[in-house]
Amino acid sequence: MFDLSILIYSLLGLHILGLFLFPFIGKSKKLYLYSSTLLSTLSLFAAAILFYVVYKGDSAPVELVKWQWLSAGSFSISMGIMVDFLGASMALVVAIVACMVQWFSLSYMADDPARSRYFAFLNFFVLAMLSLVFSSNLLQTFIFWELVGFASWLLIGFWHHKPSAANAAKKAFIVNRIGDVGFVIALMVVLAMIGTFNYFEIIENVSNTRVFSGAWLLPVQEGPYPKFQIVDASVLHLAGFGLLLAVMGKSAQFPLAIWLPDAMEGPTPVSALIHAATMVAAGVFLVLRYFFLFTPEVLDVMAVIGALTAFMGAYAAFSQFDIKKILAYSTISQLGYMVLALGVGAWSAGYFHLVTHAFFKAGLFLGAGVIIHFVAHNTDKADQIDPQDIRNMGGLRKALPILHIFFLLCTLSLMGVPGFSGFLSKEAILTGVMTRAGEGSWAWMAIAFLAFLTVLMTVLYMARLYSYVFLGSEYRWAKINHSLSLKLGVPVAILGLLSVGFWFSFSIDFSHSWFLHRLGEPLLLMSNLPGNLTVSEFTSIGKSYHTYITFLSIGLVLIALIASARIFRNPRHDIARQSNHWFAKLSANNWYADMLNHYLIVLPTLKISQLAQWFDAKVIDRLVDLFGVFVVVVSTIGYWFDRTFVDGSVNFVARLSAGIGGVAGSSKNASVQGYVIVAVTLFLIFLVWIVFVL
Amino acid sequence: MMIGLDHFLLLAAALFSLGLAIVIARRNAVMVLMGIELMLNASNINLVAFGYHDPNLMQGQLFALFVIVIAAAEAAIGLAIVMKVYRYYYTVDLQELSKEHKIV
Repeated sequence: MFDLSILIYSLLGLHILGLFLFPFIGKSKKLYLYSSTLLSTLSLFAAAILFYVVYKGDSAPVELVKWQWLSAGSFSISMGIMVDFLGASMALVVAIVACMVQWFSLSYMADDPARSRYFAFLNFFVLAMLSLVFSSNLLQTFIFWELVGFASWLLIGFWHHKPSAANAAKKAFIVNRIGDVGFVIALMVVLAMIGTFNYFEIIENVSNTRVFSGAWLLPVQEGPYPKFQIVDASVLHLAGFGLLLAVMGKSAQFPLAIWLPDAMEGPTPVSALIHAATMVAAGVFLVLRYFFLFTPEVLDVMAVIGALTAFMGAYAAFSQFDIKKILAYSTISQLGYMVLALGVGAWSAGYFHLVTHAFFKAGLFLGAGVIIHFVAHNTDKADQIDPQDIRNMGGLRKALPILHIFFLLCTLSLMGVPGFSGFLSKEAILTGVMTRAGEGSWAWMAIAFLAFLTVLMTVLYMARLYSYVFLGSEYRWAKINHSLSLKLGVPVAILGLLSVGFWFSFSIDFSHSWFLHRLGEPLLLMSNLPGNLTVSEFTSIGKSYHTYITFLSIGLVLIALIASARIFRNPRHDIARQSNHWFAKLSANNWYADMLNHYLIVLPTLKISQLAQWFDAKVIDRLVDLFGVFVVVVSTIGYWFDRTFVDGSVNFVARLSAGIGGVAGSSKNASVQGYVIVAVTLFLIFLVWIVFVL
Repeated sequence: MMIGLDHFLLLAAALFSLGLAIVIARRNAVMVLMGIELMLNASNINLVAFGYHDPNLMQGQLFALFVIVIAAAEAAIGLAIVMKVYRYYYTVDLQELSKEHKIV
């Protein structure tokens, strides 16, 4: 058996090397950039070999390495490396996207003076994500989770001299901290109740517990007569909701999604990395790995949040004119799909969509990078146009023919057109949702309705993007002879090709996908979750809906394509251009989330801090001043008392002694024997006074 | 008549008074030193007499031995000083040393 830990060490080591070469050869930019890209290509090979070995091998997760990190008494925290098909495939996705992004950045960032630093940050980002994927410990996961957040802060704010970029980085970081509060709560619950952070020990300990009608039984004593500690099951929900909050922050779910559109201020390849493989994937990956910690109640909330996010993200994408903003809202929407899938228990479908989305969204972002690059370099500087505004594009089909093909592949995959990977994973999710909704309650039907509506909307906003960018008049670019640089084109082409469906399944039926079959079923420990779906259930329970769902979603895609062909043929019909229309206003402002955030959170926070400042200045400072005055008065009195009485009594004794000594030593009896006479006489008087008077 | 503690104490008191009288009255520095010796010996008698009644015994007597040793040392130093004073001023008269030479 091939030693897997060597592969993982080399996978991580190559990026560590890429990071630590920066201080040594970062000055010579060309050498560092090429060596970093080469290292990341090597790590892609390592990830591919790892994936292959794990794919061929046993499916059970194994802990390859385990170190004792710190211990106190009987309690200890370990660090370790674990690998299973989930981790290996995620690592491969991360490695592919990271490698493509580095190759792309070689020429995309060629003019940036700080490009060495940029590549070092990229290495750090990927390293943190890969370490998170392989970590076998919840606390270790948290550490790398934070490092991923920190790396995204560095990269979103890479052009920190721009105030908007600095603010976006700050916003992403702060919003993520809100989510991390949940993570810390979950960590505390896990430590207090389960007593360990190690993945395998958590499984072992949790499988010994029981959940009975609102109570959680923790084993205290084993043996033939086991004793249990009874805890309210809401503690378990608390852990689940904490993790859910963390995921909402990291994976940009509904209330905490506000950071992702602003994160577009970073360089475009960074957006590709954040949206596809590293940052937002971490949240979904956490749920995938620790799925057994989520109780049915938490999963229900998760499904609702996912559905809302999917719908709201898609809706907000309608009226954006910034090409990267459209893609950002689309990411929010697709992440909503993933979380929805996990919420309804379609674990494997959620992961499947994460993988397919990683490829086509990275391709779309890198393609958008090429387009922005092209527009910025092919317009007169005097025009002062925004190169990211899709209204300034148009007709790029002829100007960038090769890019057009691969961008279209990614777009079709995102739309969910049959034959593309996005179709397969979206089908899997919709089947999961419908299986859950088939249980009957109207709330689940509403969630399913939102999911299907989002299919329609996804096609519409992507068709809008496509027609704005690629269709239309071509005269503007006619004069320019632009050949797509190979380094920019090849990554987009590779990611575009990876968006085609046959990589995952040869038929258009997702249930035949080798990926889903190899992925297997999620580990479930708590109790039988009502909504968890496995591959076998997809094909049995979901069978009854499956055909309808396929036809329904293909039908929706077709309707939307026809509608968008009519609507967007003439861009003047675009509702987003009527800036006073309520629909456009609500969409363009992303449901006024930023405004709500500003008025409900930022302003009250500022007001509270101003109030606190006022209170501090006017009340607490005054009190402190008053206390100071009081102390001064007391010490003045003390000084007077000290000078008058304490010093006075000492001085009195000294003067008395001096007086007696003066009398005794006066010239009349100034001889040694005279002193003796005086001393003896005084002593006798003293003695008499003691004996007879006292 | 039994010789008791009182007798020793009276003897010691008498000896002490004699010593004190010599220290006060005599002008010769050597005599004053001898008076100091008498006072020390008076305290020695007290120590030994009380030591006899001491349940731990020996404590007072041992203390007296120390006093004797220290008194011997003190006498040696005192006589040496007196010798030096005499070599320098050609007198050991305390009154004279105080009044004319202002050294004590």
